[in-house]
Amino acid sequence: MNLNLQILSLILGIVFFLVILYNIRRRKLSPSYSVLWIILSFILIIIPIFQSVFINIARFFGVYAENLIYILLIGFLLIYVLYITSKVVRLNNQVKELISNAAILEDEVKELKKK
Amino acid sequence: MNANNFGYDIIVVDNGSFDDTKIICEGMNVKTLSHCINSDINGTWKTYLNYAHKNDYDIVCQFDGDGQHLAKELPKIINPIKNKEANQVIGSRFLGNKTFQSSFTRRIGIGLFSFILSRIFKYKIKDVTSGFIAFDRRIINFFSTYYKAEINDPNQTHLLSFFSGAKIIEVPVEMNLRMHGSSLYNWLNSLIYPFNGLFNIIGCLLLKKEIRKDWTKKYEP
Repeated sequence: MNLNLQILSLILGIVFFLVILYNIRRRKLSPSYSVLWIILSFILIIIPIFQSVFINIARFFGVYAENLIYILLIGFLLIYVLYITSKVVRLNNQVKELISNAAILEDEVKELKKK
Repeated sequence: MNANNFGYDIIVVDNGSFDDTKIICEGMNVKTLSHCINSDINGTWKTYLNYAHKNDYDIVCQFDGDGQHLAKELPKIINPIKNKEANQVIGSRFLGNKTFQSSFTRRIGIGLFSFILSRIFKYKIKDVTSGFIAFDRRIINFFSTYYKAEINDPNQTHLLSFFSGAKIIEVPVEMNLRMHGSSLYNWLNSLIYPFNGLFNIIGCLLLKKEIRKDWTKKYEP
């Protein structure tokens, strides 16, 4: 891999990591949601450092090292979207449950007030 | 509404609508449960089942507010439950003399799903998309304590309650064409609907074992 590319990857990884830490401190991200993002930033940092290992892995799958990065990134994003989808479904169910319970409780309060 | 009341409790579930549903219903002395936000097409389902569960009702009947269903048909779908012939009764448009005609494409869709459900149930079931359904205590219990997740179409309801060990039958009822509002299936939805429905059915089939194992054993000694 090109030296410049290595440096870019390293810097990006570190900046990314710091941004995540900053957001967690400001409570804009929760640690449990950002685990995958932290893993991504580690990958970005590790790739240029253990370059030869990475290139060997790429050769094992018969692709160029650059393409392996794309494959890894796409795989990562797919996993993350799946994770987010499952969270959305859960939230959706919870919200519906809450709306219905709120409606029932509102009615009960009204009945109590009448008495 | 009140004129045709046969001594049932009426509950109107107002799904966050902007019109005066609530005021009109309260003027008529009908109990209204109103959602503060619109919770989709199937959000009302949770509310009335939870309400029924909380207040220990024996039978719940879903009744659309668009004038499609007739109050005088109510005893027809409630009597089988009263006589303990079934746990869930579907008011069917296609059994008996035909008063309801739907479009060709829709009949194909309904035919497809009725075919699939009939294969799974091992007996014929015709009108799978009918919104005129009655449930007994067993199903109320099932859906308000065990299966709390979202339900997207009636097929799913039928399948899940069938897996929970309920007996589902179909009785012929009369229905009007809708007087107010519009169908929720426009052309785009009706293109997506069959695929969505198929996935819903597959999803239910995946749950079959779990439901049989968990629910049937826990709540039915």
